[in-house]
Amino acid sequence: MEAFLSEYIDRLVDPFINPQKRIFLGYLASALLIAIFIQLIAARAMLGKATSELFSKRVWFSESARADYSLLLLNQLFLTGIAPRLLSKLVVATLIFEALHIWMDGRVILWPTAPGWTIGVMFTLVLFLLDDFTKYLVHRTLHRWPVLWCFHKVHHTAEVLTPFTVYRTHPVEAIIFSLRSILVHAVAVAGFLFFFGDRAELVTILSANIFLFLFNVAGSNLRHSHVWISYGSAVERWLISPAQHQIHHSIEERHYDQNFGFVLSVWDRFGGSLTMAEANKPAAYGVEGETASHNLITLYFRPFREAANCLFALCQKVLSKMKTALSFARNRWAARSSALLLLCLGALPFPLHASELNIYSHRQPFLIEPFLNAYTEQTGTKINVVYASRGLAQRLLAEGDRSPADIVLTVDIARLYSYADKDLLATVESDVLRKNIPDYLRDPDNRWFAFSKRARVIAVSKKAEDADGIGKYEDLADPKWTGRICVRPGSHVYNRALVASLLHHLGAKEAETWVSKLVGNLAQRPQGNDRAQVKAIYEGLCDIAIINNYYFGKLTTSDVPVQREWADAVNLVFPNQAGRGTHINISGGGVAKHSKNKDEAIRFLEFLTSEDAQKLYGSVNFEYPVNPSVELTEELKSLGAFKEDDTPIANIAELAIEAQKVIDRGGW
Amino acid sequence: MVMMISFGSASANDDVYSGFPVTVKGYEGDKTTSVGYTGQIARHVLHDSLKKLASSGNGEANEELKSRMLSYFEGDEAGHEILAPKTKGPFTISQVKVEDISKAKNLSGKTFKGTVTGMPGNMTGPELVAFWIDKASAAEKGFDATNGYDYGQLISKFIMGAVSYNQAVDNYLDELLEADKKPNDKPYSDGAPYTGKEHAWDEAFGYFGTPAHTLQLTAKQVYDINKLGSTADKAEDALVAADFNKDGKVDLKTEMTFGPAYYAAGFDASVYDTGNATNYLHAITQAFLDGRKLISSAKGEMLSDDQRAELKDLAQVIAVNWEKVLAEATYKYAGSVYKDMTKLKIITDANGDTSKVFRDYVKHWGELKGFSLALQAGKDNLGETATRMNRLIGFGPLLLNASQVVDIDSSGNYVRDQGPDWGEYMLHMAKIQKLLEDEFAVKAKNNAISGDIENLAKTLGSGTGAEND
Repeated sequence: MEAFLSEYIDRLVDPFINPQKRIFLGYLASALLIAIFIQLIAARAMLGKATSELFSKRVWFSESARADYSLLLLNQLFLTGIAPRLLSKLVVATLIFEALHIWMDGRVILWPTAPGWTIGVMFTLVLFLLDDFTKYLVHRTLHRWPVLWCFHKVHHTAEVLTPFTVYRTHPVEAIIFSLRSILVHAVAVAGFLFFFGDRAELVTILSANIFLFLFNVAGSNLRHSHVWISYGSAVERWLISPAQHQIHHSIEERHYDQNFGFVLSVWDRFGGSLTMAEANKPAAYGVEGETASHNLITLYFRPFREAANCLFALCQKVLSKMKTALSFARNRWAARSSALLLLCLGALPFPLHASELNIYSHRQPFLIEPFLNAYTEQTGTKINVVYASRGLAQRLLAEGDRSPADIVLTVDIARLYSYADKDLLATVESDVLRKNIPDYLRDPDNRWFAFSKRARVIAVSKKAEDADGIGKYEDLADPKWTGRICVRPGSHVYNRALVASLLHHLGAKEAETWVSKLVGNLAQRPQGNDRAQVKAIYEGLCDIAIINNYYFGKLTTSDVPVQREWADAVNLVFPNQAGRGTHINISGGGVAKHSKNKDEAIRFLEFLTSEDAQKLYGSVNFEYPVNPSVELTEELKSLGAFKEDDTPIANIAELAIEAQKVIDRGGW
Repeated sequence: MVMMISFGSASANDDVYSGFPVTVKGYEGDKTTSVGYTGQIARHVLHDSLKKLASSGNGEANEELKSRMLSYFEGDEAGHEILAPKTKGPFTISQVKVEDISKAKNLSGKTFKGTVTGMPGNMTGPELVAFWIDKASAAEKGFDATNGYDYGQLISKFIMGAVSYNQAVDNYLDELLEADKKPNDKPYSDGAPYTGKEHAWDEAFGYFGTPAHTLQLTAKQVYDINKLGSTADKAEDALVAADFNKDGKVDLKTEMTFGPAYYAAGFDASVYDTGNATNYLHAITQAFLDGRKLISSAKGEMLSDDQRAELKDLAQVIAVNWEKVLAEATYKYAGSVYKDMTKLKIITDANGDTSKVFRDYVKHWGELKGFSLALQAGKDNLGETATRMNRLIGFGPLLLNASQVVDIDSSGNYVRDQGPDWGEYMLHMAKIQKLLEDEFAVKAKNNAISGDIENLAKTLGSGTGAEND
């Protein structure tokens, strides 16, 4: 409580002694001097009369002004409570700073040779402009959005203007202002530090932004006063004069929604809301038709009631629009439910065993959940899944014979192979698996099995007419494709497996030559995933890419329209159809060596090779079935049937280390 | 030690860790002081020498080098030459062989025996070092450009935690402070001139590796001593600062600065004149000295529960500050890695020659990785903090061809895969710093990545306010 009280007192005193605040005593003094000077010169008043008018009781002790003082006291109390709960500027700035690394893929230091002071001036100027523009924007929104106007109206019910009217603010507005300021500061700080490093520094006078200092010392406090100061039209096109702001407070209808600006008037000029001071001196200030507008209770609570009415009307409007949308959604839900029901019925031939299975999966949840749901529905077996893109082998290794894992599911033969290499998989004896999976797609020692296949295909731009002749991987080494091929980094398991297959078929020398020639043909540094390569073709960065077939399939059916356009920009080529066939990779799995539930685990693997599950691989992710007796789904037929390279997939895994060396030497 | 008796005693030099008298009841030998930690100094020297050897390969498999390195790590036979630190210019070092300091000591027996989860393969501390030694012996000057490893840095920084920090805070300052372990009313071992508690405490002090007269020196001086004077204004200054007994030479046993103290001193010296000054070196040394005085004052009697409680409080001061030093080092090198990555991006975008900056990058990554693993070798399991740190750093640095080591196969080959994007991995470095700030309250914060955000944001003043317009 004591801390709260001292914080509150600080908040009350701070605006008077802090040059970053409008009512800093120095600024009030400068405003007073300017006001006296104006009264003496412009109004030709005597000094005594001038000062007595400025300090008139009618102004400073009017009902309106007294309400301002009370609001100042109450609002600072409110802010003392709410400020620590608001977003932290530091947190927002850090988030933006971090996000910039992702957007720019690294750190960018602009203009490294610039002297520190230039960056400081730029920072100060940008901050000032950003600050001034967003103040204009927020102010305009407060007037134009009916719900927000309910709150901002409190400020405009002042009939007498004094420098303290600046604190005649509803607490809801105080929150909006604070968030705006936090956001602007965070953007400026994070942006400048990211692009200019620690050279960014605020240029200040008395610790206040130099521009704001000048604005304030030039009599900003007279904006809320009855001292009429116009800068003349030429200047008022650029800077808002005190008189222009007084017009903003005018009760006359012709002055409504004019001069939202804070320091600069250019924003109003572009927004069509600028009124010059000349011949526009307001007759009175306030809001037409507002009653009892200086009562604190009314000032605080009436805006809520009015805003609620506003919102209610808005909701009614939205609800009536939603009615149509809801009936549409109901239909979609029915379609999904029946699809799931069909899948469950398909799983019926598998007998019911109520137990539990633990799966360690590198495959993403959305890809395997349909299989798990179907299996659980049919057998009653509860399935728990640990998903991770990396580190599961480490985890199994560390857990040893205490591991709860029953099954491992992953993609790529090298990753699967590494589980066997670390002796983490059990040998499985299953006639069903032997029958459903051809020899070349499973471990000779029956520790791992493929459940689906994916083809490494060549995507060719529809615009590249000369690319028609591409029929095999070897063709990509032709120098005529210089600067026209895109592909992800060579060390990625999909590319490494492709190079391993080339090592297997062509031998070390030719494979190495192929890699170095391919690298010589690349249009850009290898980066991104397979999807990004198709996008690069769409954007015209290259004409040819090597990708996995399912990326293309998923793009063709993407919910994002532009992704469908990427897919539409390319044709797929299944390479080496006239020879050894297209290189394939697999998704697969095995039973964990220390599984306590091996029978059930084997039963689950068998389920994955059944007709229904095999078809699901096609419909969920455009992957080909491993079970030769299973027909291709419609989705896969649309990509086309193809001849595959039936080299034992284990051979590809064994060549991975060698393939990596070839890739490293080739600089892929 | 004989020299120390004549020049420094607890009474003559109240702030020097030496000269404490023999308090063991019934001691019949001729020693007049109970202070002894030469075994630990010998291990620091073995470590420094091993680091030196780690960067002496020629890029070809070299069995001779490998067995030589292993002998500095595992062997306790005599004849080991001190390869580092060695006399340099005016900075003359008294000892030439490891046995001049202490006999029959090795590192592997004192290396953290738990599983190192921050590297693949489920290896224990000694297994990991042996694995690295194997790789280092076949690398060009300890540098593996293909996978991005600097073995000298990895081995050295890891040992600083897995041996020194682990032995001190997880053994001597932990279990051995219990009443039933190494009691103070019995000699540490039969016929020894020191009690159980005296020697346990001394050994922990030895592992910290700071000159006995540290409290008479500034952090910068202690730092310069480790650098053999190369960072001092004049190399002679470091010699004068180190040479407590004024014999013109530096006695490694009592006058030298080794790894852990060097880093503590480094951070203190780096921020001594800023608002966030740290005092790791002197806080740790003072706690060691206070503890030793307390044990000595028991005059060979069993320590009371109160005395042990006081000792544990001092041990806690040491453990907390030592942990912070390792966290500061991890923080600093995360910042170095980030800076190198910024430079590498500029160079690669301009198709320039990356070799020099890449070498720095790999070196700094090795220091980052080594210190992060060292930090995990303390007495407490860091749990989620360790998991997050290990995942953010990865098993290897992100390489210029966008790959990263993700595994080690059963034959010891590195397995790589496509790593995160460049910007994302840079962000990992910022997140590591944030994590260390949150978990260990690091203060010196060398090479802060987003540290300037706080300072710059402060100059803009408070964002909250009710000013209308």
